[in-house]
Amino acid sequence: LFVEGPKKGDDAVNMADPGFFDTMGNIWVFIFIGLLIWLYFREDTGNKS
Amino acid sequence: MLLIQWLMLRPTTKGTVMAKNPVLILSLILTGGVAGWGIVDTAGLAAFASTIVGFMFTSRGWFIMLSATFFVFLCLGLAFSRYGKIKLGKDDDEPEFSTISWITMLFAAGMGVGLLYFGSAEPLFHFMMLRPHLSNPESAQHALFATNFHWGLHAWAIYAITGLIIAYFSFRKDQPTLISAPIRCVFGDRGWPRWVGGFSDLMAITAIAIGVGGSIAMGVFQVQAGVAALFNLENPGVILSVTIFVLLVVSFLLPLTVDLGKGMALLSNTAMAIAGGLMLFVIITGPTHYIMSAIVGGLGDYLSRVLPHGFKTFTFFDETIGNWFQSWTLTYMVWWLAWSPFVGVFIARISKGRTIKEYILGVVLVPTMFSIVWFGVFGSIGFYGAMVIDVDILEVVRTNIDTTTFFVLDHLPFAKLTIAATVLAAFLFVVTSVVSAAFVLSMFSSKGDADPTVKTKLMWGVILGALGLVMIFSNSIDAVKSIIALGALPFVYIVLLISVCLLKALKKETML
Repeated sequence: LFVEGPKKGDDAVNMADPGFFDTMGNIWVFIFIGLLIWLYFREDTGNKS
Repeated sequence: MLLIQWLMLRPTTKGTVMAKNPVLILSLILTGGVAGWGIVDTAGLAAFASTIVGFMFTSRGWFIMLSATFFVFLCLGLAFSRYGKIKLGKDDDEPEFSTISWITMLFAAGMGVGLLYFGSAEPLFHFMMLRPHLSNPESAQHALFATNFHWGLHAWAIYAITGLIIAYFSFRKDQPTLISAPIRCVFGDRGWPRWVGGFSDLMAITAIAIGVGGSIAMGVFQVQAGVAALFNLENPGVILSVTIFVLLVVSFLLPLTVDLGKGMALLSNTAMAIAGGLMLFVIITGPTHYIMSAIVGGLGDYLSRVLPHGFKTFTFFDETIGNWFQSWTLTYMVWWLAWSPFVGVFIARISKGRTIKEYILGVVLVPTMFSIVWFGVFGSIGFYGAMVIDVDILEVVRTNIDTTTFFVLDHLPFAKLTIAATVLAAFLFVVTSVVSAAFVLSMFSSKGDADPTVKTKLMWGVILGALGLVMIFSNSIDAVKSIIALGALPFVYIVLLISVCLLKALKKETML
């Protein structure tokens, strides 16, 4: 369920996805980093200080 | 959805906090829930924390390391960029404390029960793990480097960035002292920034509460081991733990009901003086040339390897090294994140009026140097015991890591006195940490109110005590580490987000 994927000797041994949550979690990280970069360059007014 | 709606409620006034402050209510429910779960089923909570943290570390360890290293480079970049000249305060604000007092206070921030606990234990633990693979001298060298890496630049860069953001937005932009303040200041107070801000405050509170709960447990383990060493108790047992815990709770709940101000500073300074004195005592009464050589060698090794090591994730190594990397390096990085809002508020408060360059160089370099000297002293005397005079110190680390510091002191003159002083220092460090943490938690959960009510502070005192009790029940430093990491993991995203807020605000300011 987590990072445990197919093991040596399994029929499905290949170099594919080691776990659903692992992949989704890492994709979220990529999206998050992208969002941060986008936020940095975006024009904002924000609160008046 | 209900949670988001709650987080979007408007700020409230003092006195009606419970009725209208969703962050306070949610944070009490969350941390109280964790404490309750831990008291009912300690093993279940520890196992849950360990599973989730293990998964997160395996899956996103690279991201945690990359983030920690990013904070180091961000600190260096900010210090030496044009932003370095910007003041943490208004342009005409002058530093509140002299540079010497400021540096002394930074030393104090760097001190804590963790250093007393891990001083000899951590380098020796790494040494023990490396010994089957490397020669003794190489193992000692790598073990000292790993320890310095965990307590050095990366730790202090995380603290420095969080403190810098708090200081910049509080003193220069007149925002409340909240983790959400930079988000609301830069992106406005409507839509997503509002609930992301509320969520950030909630996560900051959770991370601090669970982190300080862990510190209470570590303090109790340390004091218990010291009392056992003083009175030659073989199996101290639960009664001693609970007695120490009750004494601790009384000691930190009392100061929360009255404003002790300078009294707390006195307690903190006493603990710091004892720790500093202990270090000098070990240098003088221990093998002085061996210790001094280890400090200098450790410093050189650290300087030459620290930056590339920040990118090391041990991907191609076996499970033993992988587990070691997770349970030490990654755990420490999230541990610093857990403590960063709390330590950040302290270093921000004492740094008003300093320039960003001054602030970063002071906050990052001074405590890092202190850590290198500290571990040089306590690590090398541990190696001396293991390699030169061949005492059973590695067996102590393996079987009862809590007692390592006392085992070292027991092999030096005036052992009873130094062990009693260490016990006292550990006790005082925990009391002052919990009192300060209860204050910061109350401030964060009262919309940045600098004078939170006694009731709120007491509530946090009780929650911190309960969390500490849970971790004492777990009776394992590894369980404590996992529970802290669980509370701190979401905070890595928040520190990155508020770093972007700082960069945007600085860019805007210099463009005007």
